[in-house]
Amino acid sequence: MISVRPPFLQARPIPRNPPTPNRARTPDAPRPLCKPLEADPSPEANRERALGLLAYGLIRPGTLLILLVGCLLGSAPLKAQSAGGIDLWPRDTTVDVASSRQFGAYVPLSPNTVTWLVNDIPGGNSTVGTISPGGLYQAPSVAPTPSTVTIRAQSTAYSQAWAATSLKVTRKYPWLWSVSKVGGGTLQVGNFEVSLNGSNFAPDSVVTANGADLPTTYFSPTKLTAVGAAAAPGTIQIAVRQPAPGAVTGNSVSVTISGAPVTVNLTPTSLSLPLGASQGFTATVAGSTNLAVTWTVNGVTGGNATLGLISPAGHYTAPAALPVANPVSLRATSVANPLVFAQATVTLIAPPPPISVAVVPTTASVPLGGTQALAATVTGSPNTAVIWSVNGISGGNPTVGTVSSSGLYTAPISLPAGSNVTVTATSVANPSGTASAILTLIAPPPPVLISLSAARFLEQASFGPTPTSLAQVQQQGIPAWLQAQFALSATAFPVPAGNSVQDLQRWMLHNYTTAPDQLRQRVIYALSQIVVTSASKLVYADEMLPWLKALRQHAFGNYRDLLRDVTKTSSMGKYLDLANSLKPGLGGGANENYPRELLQLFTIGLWQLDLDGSQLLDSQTNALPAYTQADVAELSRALTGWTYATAPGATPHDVNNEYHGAPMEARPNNHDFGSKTLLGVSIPAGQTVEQDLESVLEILMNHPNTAPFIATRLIRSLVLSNPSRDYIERVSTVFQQTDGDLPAVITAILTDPEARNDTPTVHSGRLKEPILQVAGFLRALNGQFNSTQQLTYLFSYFAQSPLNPPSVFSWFSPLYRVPKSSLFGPEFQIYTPTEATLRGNFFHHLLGNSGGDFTLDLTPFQPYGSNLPALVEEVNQRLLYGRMSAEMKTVLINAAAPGYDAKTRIETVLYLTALSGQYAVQY
Amino acid sequence: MNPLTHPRFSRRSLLCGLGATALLSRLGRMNALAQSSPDYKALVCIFLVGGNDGHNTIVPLTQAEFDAYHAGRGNMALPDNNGALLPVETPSGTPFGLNPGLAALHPLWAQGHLAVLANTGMLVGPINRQQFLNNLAPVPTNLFSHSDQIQQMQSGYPSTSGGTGWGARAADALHALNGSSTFPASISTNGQSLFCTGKIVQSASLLPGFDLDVSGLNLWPQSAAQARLTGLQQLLEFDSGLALIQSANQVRKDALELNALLRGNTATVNTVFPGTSLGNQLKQVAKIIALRQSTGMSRQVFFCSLGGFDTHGSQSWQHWDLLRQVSEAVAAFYQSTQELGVADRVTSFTLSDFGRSLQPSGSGTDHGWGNHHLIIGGAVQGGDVYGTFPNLALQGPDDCGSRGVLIPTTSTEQYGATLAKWLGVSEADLPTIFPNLGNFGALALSDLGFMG
Repeated sequence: MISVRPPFLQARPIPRNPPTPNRARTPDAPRPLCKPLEADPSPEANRERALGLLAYGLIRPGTLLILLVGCLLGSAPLKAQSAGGIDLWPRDTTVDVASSRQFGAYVPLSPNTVTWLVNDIPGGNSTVGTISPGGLYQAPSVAPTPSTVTIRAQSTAYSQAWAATSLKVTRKYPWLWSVSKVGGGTLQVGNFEVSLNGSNFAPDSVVTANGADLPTTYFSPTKLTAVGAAAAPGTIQIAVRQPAPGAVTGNSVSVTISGAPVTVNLTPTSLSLPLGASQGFTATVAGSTNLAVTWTVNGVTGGNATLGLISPAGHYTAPAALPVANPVSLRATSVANPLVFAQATVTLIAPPPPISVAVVPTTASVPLGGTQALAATVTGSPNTAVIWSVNGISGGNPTVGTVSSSGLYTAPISLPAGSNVTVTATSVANPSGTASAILTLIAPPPPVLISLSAARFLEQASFGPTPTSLAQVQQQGIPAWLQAQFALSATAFPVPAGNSVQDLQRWMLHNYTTAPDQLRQRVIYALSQIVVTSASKLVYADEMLPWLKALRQHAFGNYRDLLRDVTKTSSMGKYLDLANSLKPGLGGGANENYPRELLQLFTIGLWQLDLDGSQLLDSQTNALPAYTQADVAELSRALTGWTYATAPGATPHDVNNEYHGAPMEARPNNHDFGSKTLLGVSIPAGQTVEQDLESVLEILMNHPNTAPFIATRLIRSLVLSNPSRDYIERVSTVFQQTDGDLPAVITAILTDPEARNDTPTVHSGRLKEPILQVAGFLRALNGQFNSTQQLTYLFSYFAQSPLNPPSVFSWFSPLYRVPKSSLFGPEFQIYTPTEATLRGNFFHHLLGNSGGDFTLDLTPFQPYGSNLPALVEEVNQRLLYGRMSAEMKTVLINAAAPGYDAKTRIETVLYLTALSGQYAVQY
Repeated sequence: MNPLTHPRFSRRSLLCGLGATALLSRLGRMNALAQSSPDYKALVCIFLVGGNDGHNTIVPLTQAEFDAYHAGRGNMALPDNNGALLPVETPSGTPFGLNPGLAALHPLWAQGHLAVLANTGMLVGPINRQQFLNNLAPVPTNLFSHSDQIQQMQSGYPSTSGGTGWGARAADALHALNGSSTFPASISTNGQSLFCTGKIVQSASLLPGFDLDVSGLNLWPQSAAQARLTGLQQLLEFDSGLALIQSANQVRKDALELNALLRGNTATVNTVFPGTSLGNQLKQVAKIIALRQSTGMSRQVFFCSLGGFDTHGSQSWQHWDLLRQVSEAVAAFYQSTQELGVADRVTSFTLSDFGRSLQPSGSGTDHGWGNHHLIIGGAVQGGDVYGTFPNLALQGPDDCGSRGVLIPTTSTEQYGATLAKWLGVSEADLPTIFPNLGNFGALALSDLGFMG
């Protein structure tokens, strides 16, 4: 606070409106008439006083003579003038806005009345102020422009008689009571900000310092702040000015500006310094012309050898050994004012121990996406920790590869700029201890092109190629591979615990994906769709296994032997009711179920065929039936007399109970010993059960239909749906010439030029049924079904429940034609929108769920996770054997590109390819 | 056939899955043409797996017949704790009672939309008790065997020969009516079925609640999912130059289009179905029927099934509950055909392995042969019992033994032929579908009359 005198004791330049009660003129307190006029020395005061007497009726206006002077004056302010003897007071005074002033006039005329005018306006107005008939002037609330007005009293009788005076209307007087520094304290040289306390401040009030305006901020009628600057110590006068119109400057207050204090500044203020090292310090003195300082270290002027030395110029040299007290304090003290100083803290540090780091190996090659383990050895410090970085980036990043805290480097999936990266181990104990390894990143080789001919062959001869089987075929050649497969021992069928046929179904899918004897399994699978039984009726594993074993045994044997053994299996005996088929008699007729299917489905079919499989036609071009109902009846009689084998411990009967532990047994008592004629060939009377069966087999194997019928079925199952006539004939010929030698027939089918033609034609191929397509997918990806997998039920959704076809016609008819087409397409019978969608969805399941019910291996695709052309090419090779068109590749690349990560992109390409018609068809 | 009134399913596949706009515009066209394509008929087979007990499905209420029923059924005779029999009467005034489980269907009798076909089963030809007991006439193989009889009922052959079903063979015969549509004409809602397998038509499955949504299209980010779908659509359009590849792609394109249809508004059916297995299956059938304009189908065959009817023990409540499920689901289905305006164009009917013995064993019944079946639909001449209601006397003329196992007096083939004829199969084509039909008299007389 700057002390000032109380405002009423301050000298006032123009005390016009003082708050002194004895100068107040109020209607309630008229002055006594006897007050001597000379009490106030100022003439103006006398006039005021007289006017006051007049105004308040102590001098009656009617008794005064007023001389009117007919002289009009302009509106410009004027000094008081008069004419005609009229006198007017007070003269040439000032009045605050919104306040009043009583004027009085001496009129030595009769009548002595006057008219009052402001700026020659009778009675004035709100702009220039109003004046009453009694001379009471009321100033406007805003000073007029100009702020000086003319008050005129004019005789009502003689206009030439008048008196006039100027009256200055001023704004309210800004009283300033005190000035203080904002924030407290004393004002010092330099910039300052002051707060002013007073009264009548207005928003446009301006603070002045020694008469110069300062930037001012208005807070309230009693508070202003202002900023300014003081160049030197001394005093300045602060006042407040109210700007025009009606400008007025209030009283001033004197404030004292004192000089600046002495300060010392020191840099730096804190640092660490190795022993023996030096560091310069700078001390800056302000507030004094004496810039000198004295330097001390921990209070010792100039320091010493223990604490370190500091020169008069502030150059500090650390000691050779750590002092007891560490850090040390450096102090620069002002000479001008020894009480003022600045201080710096220096932490002395001992040099780190000598450390060496070694990394092994120092060089290595890492495939993209691959890993390399690195080991760092730290010597010279008990702290053996290191920090690993790649190309200077701690921990690396996906671009240059990453390195774990244990030194395992994982290469990025694509080459960074430059194919080398530097992996560095940095000692934690001493960052100067580093060692590096230079790793050369190796891009994966482009996808290996596989042999289309080998892959196509394996699609026909197995449940689809695997990387291993492809290599075998390419290495051995097809003939040698076939010989090796024919020689391979057959995979044994397990007898499931609990005799569960479901377990057998589970295992069978496993077997399709894993059996080494793939050709035999594929042929068994094909035969199982010609000579059919089904788990729909053979509901226990032991009921089905005799049939499966017969197929296994004869898949590489002779078709006649296969038919014989299958006929005698309890499986077929039960499935098609040959078991306990009795000669016609009281017990009923011979069962025709098996005999009919033996003709229709297992050997000759419905229509007479040429060797090339085409139907023979009569002269009216009607197809000729291959057999009649009479043939069925004759055949049925010939096959009477078979019953289930006698179970161990049971008594043999002519009609035994169901038993599946051995082939069926002959029962002469139930056999029809009469002669039969089957397909125009006689079977003599009196033959045994077994002899009749042999006769039947002889007739059927010699029938011209059997070779083309079975050849066509096998070709459709193994190679293609629409074989040429010549192809069928070539295979049929082999069947006939070898009397149904299946290895010869299979070889003929698989080595035929039509099978081996790698250039497709418009009618090429066969639709893959669910088992083949799914098994092939897993095998192509080095995968398999596990033997206890729980996914078999899904194949019923695909309409191909393993071992469980819906009828003796198996899952689909070999004669089924592609919808709206003349082409054969047996597998299309179970490829409807629902089955196709469910099968497709299963591929998606397979791609994302390897590990439980099945496995597959996507690692071969991983190096190409960010290289879409290479990824698509790898999938092309794996699934389509290089036959993917350029447009399909483009579509797949575009489809995979937005994938979030490599896994997603790999999944996209594999999944979409699996959904394509190109993958749905074996061609 | 005007190709415009039978839009090709295949032709439109280019639009498949390409978004609601394309679909809507196409459906808009369909709707505009809807009135010009009213020719639609469908058969819906409801197979009661295990052998439904016809004896307790419909009970004769004339005094003498009921007495015979009661004598043979013994402690398992209706009515029982599950409620009173639901009374019905033939036009000639013969009273019968329906199992109380059939309450939901009961009103359809009076409305003339529910008929019963009595004592039907697989036969080679007509056979009487004397012939049967003395093996004087051929009979189907493996009577009383579930697997064989399920197969025979569906194939329509009295042996396990045959790899096609009679429903699909009827669809084969009417194949031309479906024009060039590649939409399945023969659809099972409970997995592949022999009934729906034809020489020409496929046995298509449609699983209740499965709208053929394609897996793997919900991945993040959305752009990746869209790219996959776009890629798939493009893959299916390539001209590979191989007919089978084109055909395989066509199936998947059809699937994508069907997916869009099933998810679209056209497949909306407002009728509330019970949430049972059969209810869900029949709802799926109703959705497909709702799509008939979009799919361009004129003739379709459906196959639904419900298991649990092999009631060897604790039959009473179980059987009531099974029939309740059947009746509630079928009643809802009938209502949905009304909603879709095809009540007289859709006929539902039951099949089952076989009937059951009249004489109970304990709390259940044993495998039988002849059986009673229900036929439901707006075109059915309902409110009547067709065929010949059997004599229920044990060892009576209709008993093939001593336990009230009925010798059928009407063949399943006659039953099927009557339905197939309604569907539109010509009399000349009937023998190719039902090869033994001629054994039951002149073809012209094979119609049993329940379809008018």
